[in-house]
Amino acid sequence: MGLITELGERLRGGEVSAREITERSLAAAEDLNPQLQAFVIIDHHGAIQAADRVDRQLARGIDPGPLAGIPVGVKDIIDMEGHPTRCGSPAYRDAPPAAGDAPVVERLRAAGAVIVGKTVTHELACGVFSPPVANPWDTGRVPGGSSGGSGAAVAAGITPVALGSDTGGSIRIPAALCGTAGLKGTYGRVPRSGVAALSWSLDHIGPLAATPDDCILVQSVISGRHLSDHTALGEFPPDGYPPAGAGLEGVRLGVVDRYRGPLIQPEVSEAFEAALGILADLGAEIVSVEIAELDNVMEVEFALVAAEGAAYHHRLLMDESHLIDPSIRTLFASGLMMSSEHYLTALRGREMIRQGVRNCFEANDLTALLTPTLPAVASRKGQTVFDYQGETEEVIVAYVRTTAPANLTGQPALSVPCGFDCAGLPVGLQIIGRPLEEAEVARIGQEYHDTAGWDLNPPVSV
Amino acid sequence: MKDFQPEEVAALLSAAGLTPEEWDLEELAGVLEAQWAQTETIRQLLAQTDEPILKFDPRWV
Repeated sequence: MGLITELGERLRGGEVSAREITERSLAAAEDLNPQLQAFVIIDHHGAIQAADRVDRQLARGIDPGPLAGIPVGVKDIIDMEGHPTRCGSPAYRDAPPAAGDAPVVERLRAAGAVIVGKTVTHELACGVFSPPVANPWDTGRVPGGSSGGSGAAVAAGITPVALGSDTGGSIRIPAALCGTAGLKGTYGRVPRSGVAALSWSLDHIGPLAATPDDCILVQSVISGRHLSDHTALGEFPPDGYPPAGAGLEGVRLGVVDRYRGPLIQPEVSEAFEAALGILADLGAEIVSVEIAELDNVMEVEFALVAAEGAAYHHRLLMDESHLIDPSIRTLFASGLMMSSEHYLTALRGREMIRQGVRNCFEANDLTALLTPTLPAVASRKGQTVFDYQGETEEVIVAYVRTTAPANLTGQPALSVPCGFDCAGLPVGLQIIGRPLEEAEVARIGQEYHDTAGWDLNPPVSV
Repeated sequence: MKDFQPEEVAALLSAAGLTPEEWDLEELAGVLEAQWAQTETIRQLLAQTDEPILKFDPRWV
């Protein structure tokens, strides 16, 4: 059972009120924020108002919805009425309060959720470190990014769920590094209007939460067509999959060989291989696969982000580029100078990768692909390079090359905790499913989660 | 491998509407050279096949 379901049962059973749950969450946010810096805004007034509304509905016998009384953090690139959307950037320091909620926030509220605040993002959602956020497992290490505040808030138990966005891994990276689950659905599942973009064709909105079950519950609430976003797909279909605990008989999982080494930390590799053993014990058939087209993931990903980011932030680049972090402004400037032929070549390269992955699924009759979410655990703050026993790799590249493929193909992808290194830092397992099969991805993740039974309480937590 | 000289980068910046004096031309030259090389790799792969073409979806969905 997920944490959200458990809290919901306690709430509906009268064991606890929405106000009590919310007050605990707000107190935890205040207590832990000096150490973690996960929140940029803590909205006491709005949260208490929302919680009291839930309690009044329950008292009248009205079901407030599937997220009744559940505290949620919202990444600070997502509009929340009455609060500025500052995108973690000095360029938006004077942003006015948002005139309305983004559709994803509207849907959370309509489902009874209580928004307790806005979580820190890496500047413009374009990076993997999310300063000044600290990792609850070791405050000298990064939480990942760009949804780093959301990862830290959920891992520390401040909120059971937080929204993130994912353009090259920005939900799954902090989920893996902070020891939470994180789900990026199929491209277009969740409307993105009212959310600052990084790269329109790669951006996804999704949840970080304690368990895969919690993720799929929140995903089902925020998914679906919306008039304000023509890229949003239709309703989340009811799933026809077996209930949790049914095992993984008949499930075929492809392990992408290139991500097993040599560019991987040994303890991450050990945790990943052990997770494969558990999945096999649950009945899944594990097969090794290779996809040659994945050679070009980074080239295509960065070309698309550079060009689309430059287009989205064009005014900012023209008028106030000095306010943007130097590495991000250089990336966007390169996108501005990129020829249309470069951009179109990258789009064609993306289609080539998509076809390569699709062919692999079809040829091997796969249910999902498996990779370590990341080849390394959380880096120290300021660290720029990983050393894998002699071979080195930039941290930014290490944290994107395993996650970006699912952004390029648009497939649903989940990160679920799969163990720790000897320093006690979490490791993530990534499950990439067929398009629109979020529910199956979450089911596989939940079966693993329930069987592995990891203790996921970090040193800095509630 | 294409080399970008600082003057060429400055011209590209100007053409894009940016002010060259506000930018580190050598750093940008390095980024553009890497980008060029990466795109060339994809071009070569694409040249081996007629696919994939880009599609336009005319449906009102």
